[in-house]
Amino acid sequence: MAQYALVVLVAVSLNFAIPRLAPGTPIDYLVPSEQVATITPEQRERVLAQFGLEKPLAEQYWLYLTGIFQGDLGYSTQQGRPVVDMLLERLPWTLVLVRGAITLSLIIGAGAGFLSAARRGGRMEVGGLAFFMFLDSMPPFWIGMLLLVLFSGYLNLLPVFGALPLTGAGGGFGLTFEVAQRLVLPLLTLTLVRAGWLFLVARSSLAGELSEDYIVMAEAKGLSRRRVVLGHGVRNALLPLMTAVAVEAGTVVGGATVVETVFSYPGLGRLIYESVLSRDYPVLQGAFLLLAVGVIAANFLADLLYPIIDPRTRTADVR
Amino acid sequence: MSTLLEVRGLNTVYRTPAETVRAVDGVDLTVERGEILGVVGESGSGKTTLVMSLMRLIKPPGRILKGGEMLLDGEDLFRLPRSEMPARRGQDLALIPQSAMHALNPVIPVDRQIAEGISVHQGVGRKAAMRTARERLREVGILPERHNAYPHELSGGMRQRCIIAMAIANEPKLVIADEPVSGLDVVVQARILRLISELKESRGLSMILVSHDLPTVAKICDRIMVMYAGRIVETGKARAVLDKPLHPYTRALVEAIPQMRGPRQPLQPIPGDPPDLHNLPPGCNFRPRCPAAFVDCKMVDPSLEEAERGRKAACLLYHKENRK
Amino acid sequence: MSGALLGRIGAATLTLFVVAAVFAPVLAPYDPTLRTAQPFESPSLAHPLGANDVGQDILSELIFASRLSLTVGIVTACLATVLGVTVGVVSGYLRGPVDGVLMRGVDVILSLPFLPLMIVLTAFLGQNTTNLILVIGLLIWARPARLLRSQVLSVRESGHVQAARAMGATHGYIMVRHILPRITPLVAAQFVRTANVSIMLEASLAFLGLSDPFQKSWGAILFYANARSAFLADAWLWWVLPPGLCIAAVVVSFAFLGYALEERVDPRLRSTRPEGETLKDAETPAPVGGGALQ
Repeated sequence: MAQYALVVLVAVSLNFAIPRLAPGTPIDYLVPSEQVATITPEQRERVLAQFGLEKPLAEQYWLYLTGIFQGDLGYSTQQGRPVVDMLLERLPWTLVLVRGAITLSLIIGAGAGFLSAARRGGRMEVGGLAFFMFLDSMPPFWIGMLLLVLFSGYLNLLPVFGALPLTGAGGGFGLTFEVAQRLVLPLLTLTLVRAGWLFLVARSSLAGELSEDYIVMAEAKGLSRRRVVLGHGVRNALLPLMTAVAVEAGTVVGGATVVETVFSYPGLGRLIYESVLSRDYPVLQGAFLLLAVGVIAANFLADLLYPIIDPRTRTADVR
Repeated sequence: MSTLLEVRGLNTVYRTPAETVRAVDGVDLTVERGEILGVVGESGSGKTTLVMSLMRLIKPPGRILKGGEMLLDGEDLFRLPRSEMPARRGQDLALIPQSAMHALNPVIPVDRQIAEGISVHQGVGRKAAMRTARERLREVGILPERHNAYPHELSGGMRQRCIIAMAIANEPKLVIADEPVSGLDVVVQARILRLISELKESRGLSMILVSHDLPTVAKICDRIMVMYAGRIVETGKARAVLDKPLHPYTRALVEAIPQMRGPRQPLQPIPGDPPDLHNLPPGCNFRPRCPAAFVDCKMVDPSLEEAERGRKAACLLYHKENRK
Repeated sequence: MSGALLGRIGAATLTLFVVAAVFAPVLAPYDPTLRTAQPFESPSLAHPLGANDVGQDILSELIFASRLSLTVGIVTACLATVLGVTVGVVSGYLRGPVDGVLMRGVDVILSLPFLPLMIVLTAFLGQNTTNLILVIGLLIWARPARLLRSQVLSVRESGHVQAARAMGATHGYIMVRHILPRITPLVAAQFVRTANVSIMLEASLAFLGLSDPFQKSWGAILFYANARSAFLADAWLWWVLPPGLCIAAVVVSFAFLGYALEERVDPRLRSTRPEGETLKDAETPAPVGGGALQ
């Protein structure tokens, strides 16, 4: 618990420190980028006062911390809106994408990985390994671009998505359909990328379990190979796999950032991209903080759940 | 007594592109009903390969060569299709594996692990299987409140008892135990051995007990086979082998046993290294370490022949033409 | 067996790319910074991969971009490996409070989402290649550090290290002369892995428009292609496909090489759990490519 509180504090402090350590003055990051050169001394004073930048550093830090816990992440320099509002607007989109990709890639990637480990020495082994390694090695945004070419350019199956507002035509169902249409390609892309990684993890995880002594005993008991692999090997391999998925939550978020950019999918990743292009620093920082907290929460959850699903970690090992 | 198991010409090899290693080389053995047969040998003598061959659990690159027979109650198990073996394992043949400490699945309570094998073989429901499993656990001396413990919550001795309960769960015809007491401290070893003897009496267990420890085996076994470099080099009644070992290797093993009574004598370690199966000498495998070796030993690979009544040895010293 | 084959394929492919990078001025038909064709020109004999939106030859761009992509990958990997080895060896060898503090730091770094953090850092610090290398390198060393530490923990208990300690050798001497040589194979494998991760991260940052505007890597070429919607016309075939293939080929070659190296170090490396660590600490195979976008 303390560990996670510490990480959150580090993330928050990084956010506080970065603009103050970066070249230039904090002012450069608080006014719209095109006005930085033309700002007058009075305007400058006003901005400094508005953000409390003339106060001692310790006090600034304290104000910053308390502000964050009250949900104050500052204002967008481009739109003048509270950053929190902009983030919350985008959050559900990213959540749907990330959750969907994790679920689907688990089914596809881990399934194939387990199969490969159970059939070690089979003809498909090297080929399958090379294929999934390749899948894991392709840049996610590139896979996204290729899928876009395929589905929108050639098959005409799906419209090319700009950051169009949802029309909501056709009522609730129509809205759901529009959302689903936008979701399908980013989801497919992120799933493919994650499936490659999960294949490798699942494969080595099950291969490790299958070399354990209890597998021999399970077979000697008279269980069929199938039952031994599924009921003992896979069952035990799933535990570390689930942890790995939670621990690597940050990776999915990173993948989502670039994939959303390709598809103009209106999630947090796309927001980050837009903020990079328009130099909207407060939004950029807010998005990072939100993602960091999300990832840390996933890690924390995994730590809480692990003892429940794995009895070995429940009590101290008596040897 | 009638014969329960008869194995003839068992050869198990590990084949890699570079070489072929004969880990079990033409082994014959019999187990009578209600008898414990001890198999003794150093590490690397092929004991574990023998055990896994009898269970038909040899994994590639290991392979049991064709031509061998394994008659259990008159039925040749080596001829059964692979798919029928699961139904035999745990039912006809049960295993007590070498690494008992790690032979239990760490994330399943022990009673459920035992029940799993019971419901597979006896086709009974979960509840009935659990009842039987708990009975077996009581029989091996696990207190009822520990029945649903996870393996890591149990001591080494208790885990070993659970493994034994698992082995006898379906009242198998034959139990094969590979080093059942290695890795346990001496007091626990004695208790486990006593448990095995008791089960033999109460259930009429037939068993093959494999160990590197000759005195231990001799204590609870009826007959003993000594293995060296994948072969049987001596067989006989347990007492007789211990009192009067024939093969020089067995003699060396006996001399390496510390004596508790009688005058103090220095321990006699066996000279030389354990056999290297990749690189066996010509003639008799034991010759490089044998104090009694003579010229012929370099040329002739001795077969296992009757040396005395009920005793066999694979040593030229006991072959007919050399006996006085 | 399969590992050795994959390793050879990886090494051969990488050699090819390094040669292309070194001899770029000789191999590239044009200066990629000059306008040598019509904007959006389709492939022809003169321009095998056509031209981009300002009329620069894409093949020449691609060959020169391999210099930047590989340099960033390798320099970053060196930086991260040096950091990772130092922290891993010191932490694992000294143990105690030093280990506690260092590993706590490693845990903190590993729980942050890398890519968003890198985006924020580069956006603030300024977009140039040096910053890119620093930002990536200063974050990705944590994973190798943790893995090497657990290896050092077991090496330090080995006979000759204990003997050296008993003879009064200094900590520094033991770490450099006894510990380091023993973990070298693992360090090599980690270096390869780290190079992989850096190349992928650089490509992602460049794709998001965060690379040096005056130097183009493969990721940057894709940034421009995406910004000009190159995939809507046939241009995707010569403008989008080749840079991505280059990234994937280099990353997969590094992955193959790393796999072969690890298999040689210890075939069971991927499944063993260091003694005394909880399951959660156990090394899950580090993602090799796209999965490495933390």
